Amino acid sequence: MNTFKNFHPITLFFYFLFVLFISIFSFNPLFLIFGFFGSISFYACISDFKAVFKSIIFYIILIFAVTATNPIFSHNGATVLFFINDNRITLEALIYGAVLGLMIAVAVIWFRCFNLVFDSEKILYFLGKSFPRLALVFSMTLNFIPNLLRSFKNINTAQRLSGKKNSRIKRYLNSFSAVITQSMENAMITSDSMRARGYGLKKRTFYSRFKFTFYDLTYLAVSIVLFSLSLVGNTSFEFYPYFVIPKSDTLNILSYVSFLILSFIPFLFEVKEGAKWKFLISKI
Amino acid sequence: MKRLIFFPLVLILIFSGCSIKSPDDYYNKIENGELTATVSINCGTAVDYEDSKREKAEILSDCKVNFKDGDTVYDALKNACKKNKIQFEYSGNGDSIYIEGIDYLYEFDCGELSGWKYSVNGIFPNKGCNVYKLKDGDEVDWLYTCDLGEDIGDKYEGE
Repeated sequence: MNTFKNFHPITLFFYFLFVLFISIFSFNPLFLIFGFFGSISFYACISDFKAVFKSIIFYIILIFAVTATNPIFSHNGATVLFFINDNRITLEALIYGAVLGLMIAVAVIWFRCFNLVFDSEKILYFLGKSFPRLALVFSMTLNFIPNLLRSFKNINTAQRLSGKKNSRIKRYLNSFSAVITQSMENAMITSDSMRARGYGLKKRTFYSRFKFTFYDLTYLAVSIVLFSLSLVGNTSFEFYPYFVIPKSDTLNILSYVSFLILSFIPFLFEVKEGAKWKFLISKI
Repeated sequence: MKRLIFFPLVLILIFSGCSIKSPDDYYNKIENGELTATVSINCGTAVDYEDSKREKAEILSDCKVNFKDGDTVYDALKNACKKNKIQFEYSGNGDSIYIEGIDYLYEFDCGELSGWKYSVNGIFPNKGCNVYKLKDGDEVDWLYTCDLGEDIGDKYEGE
């Protein structure tokens, strides 16, 4: 189920902007952990569980890789674990790497959710009036890679079943060149046909079913309030040379709690809508 | 199967050039040599820099270190830091060793023109610190600058 995407594009855009802004710029482990669980639970709701499980393994590997590489390049920090060639490997650098890895993972998951929620129709609606070219390019690129993968799969299967005894590498190369040729041809056809339909013009009007309702306004207001509350506390974390953990005073706790709510809103919304749907079905 | 062999091999290759020591081992092994030099480390300019957290200008004053014939300024700094358990970070190797930070004070911490420079007997050689060979009784000063050396008495003569 993906009922979250029925919100108005402006509301959705600002929601993701806020969440990504805090995830990327706060550099606070607590914020990142909230963001990680909030985004992954929402992602599990809107796509299938198997894919999510697979991607969780990928993110964990990513976090470990960044954690292991950061101390090799950064030797700042007071707690020394051991020395390699006069350079110290420190606990602070290790933890900084872990937080950095978590930050990358959280940003990637939020962007995946954004991709599933914000389809090309919404992008055209959102950017179409002011930046028609950009919107066109953006929606075409988003469409390009899945199309390319699909046709690669088809051509590769055809090559495999054609009876030729090529090695795997040769077959992949053949299919790859075929895919590139096909996609170039497709690009020409697509651009011709889109130009004929008046895409990329400033005066072109779009039909869209998006209506900014009271519901959207409420949701937007709630996310703005929660976002500004999360910025209230002084939650900056210092890593080098010693950890400086921000004090847990009322303002900080307020901002932690509001970010926790902010990052779990889509998940809670999906759960609520799912329960409602089940309830209505049971009545029939 | 190939990958299973390949991966540890690469790791062994990477780590074969490294010597891994525990902190106690590292700090207790002090270099010997018949020649001596004095090393001072000073970050007075960083203390005066706007909203700086540094309070002490002297990181190390007149520390006597031993070194062997042919050792460089970098070796002297390394020994002095080892003796006094001061953190420092370098990048590069061989002739191109560059000191990025000493005692948690790094280049670019005080503006984009800041970093560490060294002078020997009051003269700035403007050479790599692992190129300049020390003589007996030299006085090495490591100074932090916020202005490409102008605030510590060295004129930058580049473009």
